[in-house]
Amino acid sequence: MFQKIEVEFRGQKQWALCQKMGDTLWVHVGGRTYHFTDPSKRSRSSSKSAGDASQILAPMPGKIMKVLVEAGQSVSQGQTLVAMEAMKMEYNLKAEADGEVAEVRVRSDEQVQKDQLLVRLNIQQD
Amino acid sequence: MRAFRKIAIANRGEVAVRIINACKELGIETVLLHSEADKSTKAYRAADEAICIGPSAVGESYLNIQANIQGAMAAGADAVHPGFGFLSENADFAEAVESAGMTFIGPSAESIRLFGDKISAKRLVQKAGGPVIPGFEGDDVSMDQLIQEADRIGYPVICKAAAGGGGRGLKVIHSKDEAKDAIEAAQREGKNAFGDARVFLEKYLDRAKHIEFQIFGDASGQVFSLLDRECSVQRRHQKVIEEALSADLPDSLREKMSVAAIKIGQEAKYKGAGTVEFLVQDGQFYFLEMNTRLQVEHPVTELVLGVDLVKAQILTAQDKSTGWDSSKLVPRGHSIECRIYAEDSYQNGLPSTGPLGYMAWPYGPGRRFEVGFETGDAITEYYDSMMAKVIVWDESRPRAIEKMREVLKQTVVFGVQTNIGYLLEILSHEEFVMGTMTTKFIETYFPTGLTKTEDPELDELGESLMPQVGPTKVLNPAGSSGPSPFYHGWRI
Repeated sequence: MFQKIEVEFRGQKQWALCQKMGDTLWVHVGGRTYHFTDPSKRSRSSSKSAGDASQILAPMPGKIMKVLVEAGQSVSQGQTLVAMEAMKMEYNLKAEADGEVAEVRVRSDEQVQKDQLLVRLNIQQD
Repeated sequence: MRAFRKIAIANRGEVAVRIINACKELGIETVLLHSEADKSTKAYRAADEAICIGPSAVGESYLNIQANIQGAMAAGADAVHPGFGFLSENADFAEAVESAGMTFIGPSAESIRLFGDKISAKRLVQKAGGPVIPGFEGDDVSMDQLIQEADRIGYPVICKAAAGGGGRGLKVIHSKDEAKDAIEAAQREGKNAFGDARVFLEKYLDRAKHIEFQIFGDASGQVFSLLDRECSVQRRHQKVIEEALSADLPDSLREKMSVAAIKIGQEAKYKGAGTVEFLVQDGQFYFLEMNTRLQVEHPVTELVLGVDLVKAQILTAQDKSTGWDSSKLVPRGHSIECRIYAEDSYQNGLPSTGPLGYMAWPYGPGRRFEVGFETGDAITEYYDSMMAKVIVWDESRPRAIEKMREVLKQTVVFGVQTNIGYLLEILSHEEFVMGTMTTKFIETYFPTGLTKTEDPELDELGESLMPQVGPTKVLNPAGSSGPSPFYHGWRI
């Protein structure tokens, strides 16, 4: 089930409840739950590097409600590109930087998977 | 007088478990009407019988009226309890249940229709002399006209789906630039969630408290006020923390609001459990909407008054007495509920899905846990991310807050991320502790949830523990424990 391991954390010797599920280690210590991903296996996840604003990926599985941009269109930071619905809530996926839409990879009503590429942007370099 | 032998539950998760337990106490059998995705859930194991009514997508299962009716009929149910969400406020469903010869556990289809349409509800309350929020409602209105009316009302304006509820189909418009996008989004959400794209506009009260009154119409026609709950701590119009009674409501105002709530119930000849929601700002209260169902936050009312609202619903549907004596419905102490969402609070509440590992719900006096899942079950992307509710009771509000903090610290959920850390931050926030929070609380103090900070000590802890912990095989509780010796149902 879980392993109970004595740790020194925040200046206190205490018990940590630990459980590994897949590549993720779950730890409950000091009244909070944390999770850690095994760094040796992290490369298997999404190919999008942190801070890459040029790729708009689906943050979770869901349905595309509306695509608000088309290829070639200029967009500014904060502009909504795609509206998607997941777990009954609508989420707006916005441009993280100014740029131009290079490619739109989805249509309205399409079901998408987590980390699926939805829109590619050419980010304006200053 | 009717006598139910078997009740079908047209819902899932923690509320399905709650209803099953109430039925068991009343000696009534249960049949769970579930989707394909929900075979591995606590409700599936708790019900006497279970019938799969369709695929995982809500439109093909939990929102499919015919599938639910057929399932309930096949099981030979006498009545259907809709829980909350899904078909609970669908008048067509209530009618279909009744015309199939079963009892719908809830108000009449007429009451549902009246209050379900937020526009007609507002008109009824206005006729009854109740205070409503200034705004605009009209049939067949063009986008241009809606934008014009939003201008006239003056920003901020809130755009609501006429058929909306539970926070869906609600958009706040801060300026004219946002109007078109927001109205379209509310129309889409209304259409997708409720099949109705009509919207209306209201002045957005930006420093109001959300205070609601639980009312209950019993079999004899008496409408009770079971007093108030405060649900001001909301994110994107979904409640996060609720409490009873309200944190900071003068008794004189409570009395006036209670009378108004009863009047609305009487006017509608309301039967069963309902909630009249109000906004309170600057000592004035305004009708927001009436919910014709059991509320997610009903436990806080139950704990301060010592009642069981689900049993009362089932008894009333059989024309039986609730056993309540209004002179004895006196509140005592304070109760708080925290909704546990499977989400990443560091990514603005993005839902978190996956199989559940070890969980601990630290039971004790004045602690109540409503949980829909057990270890080995999975949180899926098909449904709302609320996976459990933690409810506490203590003698006073400060003590209840203290207790909730401690209980949440002892609560463990492995496998999916939860908002527990976020709840702990809220429970320690000065404004919450003072009780002066408004519906803007989260927007003001936690606009994007929690923010990750550099924590080298935590990173080190993870690195040192990683090699020490071996892999776990997660057992499915249905497979590991097997059916109970009392299991006598059938499953298809």
